[in-house]
Amino acid sequence: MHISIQPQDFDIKEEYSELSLGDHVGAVVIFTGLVRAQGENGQLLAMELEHYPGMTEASIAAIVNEASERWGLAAVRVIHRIGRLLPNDNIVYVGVAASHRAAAFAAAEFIMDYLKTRAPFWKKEITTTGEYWVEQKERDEQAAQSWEQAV
Amino acid sequence: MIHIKYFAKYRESLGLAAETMTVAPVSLQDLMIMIREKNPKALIIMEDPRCIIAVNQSVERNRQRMLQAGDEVAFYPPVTGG
Repeated sequence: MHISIQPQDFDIKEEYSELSLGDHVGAVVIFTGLVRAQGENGQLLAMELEHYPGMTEASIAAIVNEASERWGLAAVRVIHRIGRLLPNDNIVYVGVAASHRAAAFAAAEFIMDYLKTRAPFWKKEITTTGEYWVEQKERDEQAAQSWEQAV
Repeated sequence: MIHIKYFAKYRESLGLAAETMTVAPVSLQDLMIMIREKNPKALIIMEDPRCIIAVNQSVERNRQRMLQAGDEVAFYPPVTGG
């Protein structure tokens, strides 16, 4: 398991090569989230990402542990950027390696759904009309809850 | 001494990221009353039904939870990472 909260960008090729190692790896699923140029409150100039140092890392580790137990994963790598990002910048990377694709797809989605609703990060949009804290979406919460019902 | 942290829009509305209060042992609920008595601007946070509270970096829903000296209590709005 590799978890990193960092201001700097990441190299997807490098990340992929870390994941694809290992005798039991037959499937790798990678998700990357980017800053949309069109924000919820107008044209984006920048996005600021705040986190709770310590708790953020621990909560992601708990999410990854749960996913690893549930799907028997070979490797998981999560990178989440913080600080000031620009439109089209990478925000988040989730890479999952498993023996088979079903586990890798499901685990990547599970980790993202929990990242969005449980890990303490907050986004603020800096737009041409002002600065706005992003509100949590009901559909994200429903997505995370659906994993609990699926147990 | 209890270490108190505020994040995101709460931090901005208070103009405060962290403070300490020498009140332990105290229940979480009583700490919240003390915070808003000390700082009227905190009222809206303490009464926000969506406010998430973490004690020692774990989400805590029990307002009767007893806090001890050295504990860390954080108040934050619903998260929006990913």
